[in-house]
Amino acid sequence: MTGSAVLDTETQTAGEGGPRGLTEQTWRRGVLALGALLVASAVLAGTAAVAASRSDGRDVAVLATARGALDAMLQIAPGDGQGAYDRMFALSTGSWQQQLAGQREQFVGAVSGAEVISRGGATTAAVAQIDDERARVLVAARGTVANTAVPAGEPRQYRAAVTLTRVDGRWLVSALDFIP
Amino acid sequence: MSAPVEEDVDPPRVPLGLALRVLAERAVARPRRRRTRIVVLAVLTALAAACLVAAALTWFGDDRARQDAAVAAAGPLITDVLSYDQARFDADVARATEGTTGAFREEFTALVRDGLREAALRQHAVARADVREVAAVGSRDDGVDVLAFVNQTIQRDGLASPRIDTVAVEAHLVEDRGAWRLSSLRQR
Repeated sequence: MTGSAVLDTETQTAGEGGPRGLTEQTWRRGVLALGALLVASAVLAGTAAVAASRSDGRDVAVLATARGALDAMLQIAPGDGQGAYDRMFALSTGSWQQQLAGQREQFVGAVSGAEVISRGGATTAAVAQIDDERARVLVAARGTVANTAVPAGEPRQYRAAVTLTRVDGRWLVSALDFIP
Repeated sequence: MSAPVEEDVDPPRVPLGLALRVLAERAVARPRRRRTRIVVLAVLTALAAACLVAAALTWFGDDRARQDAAVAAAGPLITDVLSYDQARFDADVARATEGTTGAFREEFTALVRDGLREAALRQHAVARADVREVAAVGSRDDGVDVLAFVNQTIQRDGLASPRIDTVAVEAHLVEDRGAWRLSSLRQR
């Protein structure tokens, strides 16, 4: 018996490296297809994760600014009318900023004249609407306001709808409405 | 002249020992290669499936959709819990209770049983809640927290005109028995 016949037969069937009936070409195509599917799936998963992360980060930034605006408004130390005003102004833009600018003297004067002391801040904030440029946030806040008329202070609750606009990558308050 | 004798020419011979060794090696190598390929395919398939599941969970399991559903449900549920009419008190409370779950359900039931029902009937009270705004605070594993601004108008004996209480409430909603229900409600 010679080995040549055996070797020839093996050469013809050498592609059967996988389960019976599948040729070498079929295996390669299958691996390529699965590889392509893997790459596409990974890209899809990555894109979704990045989008979700961006969305979460955007919400965090928007909520921080909205809370900060209420905190600035409700935390007024004795004789710190100008400081409180500056903190509010720093977080403002657009029509809200114009509104604040028009009332600067009145605000600072009222705070100083009535010896206003306010303590408090945002207790809860929630994003009502948001896209890449604008957001609307509901903020619940509590505070105690004391002045010459009520030296002991009076507890107050506030409900505000804060509209924010993204300016040069920063979220700033463009409107602030107290909900009656 | 004799006919030419056809010579029997053998093809090049491979020594039998070598052929047997090659056969033996292939007999071992073929299943090993097959196993390797199956493992590679299985790993690729598993990875692709995992990525697809991750993408689907990220897109469709997005908290935003869940929060939107909870926000949509919150308004009517909070309205029911904060509204009643003494003329149909038990029916109103039954509907409100249906929208609650867990400890808050017990808390609400106890509140009604231990005072609210008696007071509402005695004072001919009517309470109407108007949910002005609702938004999602965030999600937890078991549900969604929402912030709602509610105006509750109360009319009862002894009040010359209806009293309007403006409150901010934070509610926690969970999915229970196929629907969103309130599992807590507290003033903020």
